[in-house]
Amino acid sequence: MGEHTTYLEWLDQEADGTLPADDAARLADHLGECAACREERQHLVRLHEVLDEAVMPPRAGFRADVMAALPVPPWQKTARRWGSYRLAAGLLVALAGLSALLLALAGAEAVPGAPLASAASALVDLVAVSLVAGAGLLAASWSGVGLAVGEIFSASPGILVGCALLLTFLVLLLATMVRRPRTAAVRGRRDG
Amino acid sequence: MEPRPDEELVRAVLEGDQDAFGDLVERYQGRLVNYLYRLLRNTDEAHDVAQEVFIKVYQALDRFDPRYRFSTWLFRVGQNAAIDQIRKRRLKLVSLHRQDDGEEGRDWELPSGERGPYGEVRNLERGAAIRQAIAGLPDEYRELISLRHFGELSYDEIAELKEMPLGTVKNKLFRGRQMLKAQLSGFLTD
Repeated sequence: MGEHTTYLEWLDQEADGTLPADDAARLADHLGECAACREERQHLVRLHEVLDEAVMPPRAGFRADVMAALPVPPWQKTARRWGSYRLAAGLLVALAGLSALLLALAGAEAVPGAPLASAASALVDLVAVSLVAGAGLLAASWSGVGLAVGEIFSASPGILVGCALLLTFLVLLLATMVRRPRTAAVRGRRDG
Repeated sequence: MEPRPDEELVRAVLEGDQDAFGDLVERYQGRLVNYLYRLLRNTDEAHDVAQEVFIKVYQALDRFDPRYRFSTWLFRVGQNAAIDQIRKRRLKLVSLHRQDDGEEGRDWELPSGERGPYGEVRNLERGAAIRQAIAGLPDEYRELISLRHFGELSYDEIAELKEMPLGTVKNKLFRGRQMLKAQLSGFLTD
């Protein structure tokens, strides 16, 4: 009886395509002499066929629905965020380098022969102009804006270019930091 | 051409190739939907939950541990999602004081292998009998039969997913199929 149970298990595995070759050979020998197991085998094979026939295809367009509904995954957002920070850091470094160059040029014009003193003087000029400009813009008054514009235009060409570049870089920096990720697509609906 | 292994497709997705995820969906959509249908017994819910599962897996793809199989991970997420869905359905039914168990919903009709009115009736009967036979199995057997025959997972994958010894998986599948054979005996002799 115990041996027969083993054959039944082997028959089941054979019908499922998982019976090892050496067991399959022994089962074949047994089947040659056991009518009950041959009948059982037929039933099991038919059972597998019936189960296979019960497998349904998914509805048409399912893959497309899934793909359309995929949101931006958190791991992609993280990668993008680091990308943005790298870009922002690069812009800041470029800005610092450019500012140093402009300061050195402006300082050389102001106090020839004393580069450190002239650079410090130019830096003070730039900070003063920026403060005044900032205060004027923050006050959002015509006089404030006028004062800022007046101060900017009365500064040396180097300072003027520096301010323009500073503003451009700040705008770029802001744009890279606040750029929104792609929004999630609307979840696809079934089509039938 | 050899199909690309799941793990390679996962890597490609993480490197920005979204089409590779489409290939994974293509590979598993039928198996996952069929598996979920056997648990939920409702075609529309099976599709909706399968879609949620693919989205969940996509969002967590960077946490996929390549030491395990993608298939077992996907079906584990599917199994949990089906349990959640059944729980939600029960809550909804309790709140509505309904007596049925929520199995209404569109049935999946078997593809017609036989022609003519007799064949159609036979197909409908067979489809209903298979559904009833599978639904009538004890939970642990139904789960394994569904994973094997509709999820098309190997015995090893089922053992990994269910955290069972391989021998137990084989034994339960054997017993489950014996029960099905008894239930479907009328369809196995022709």
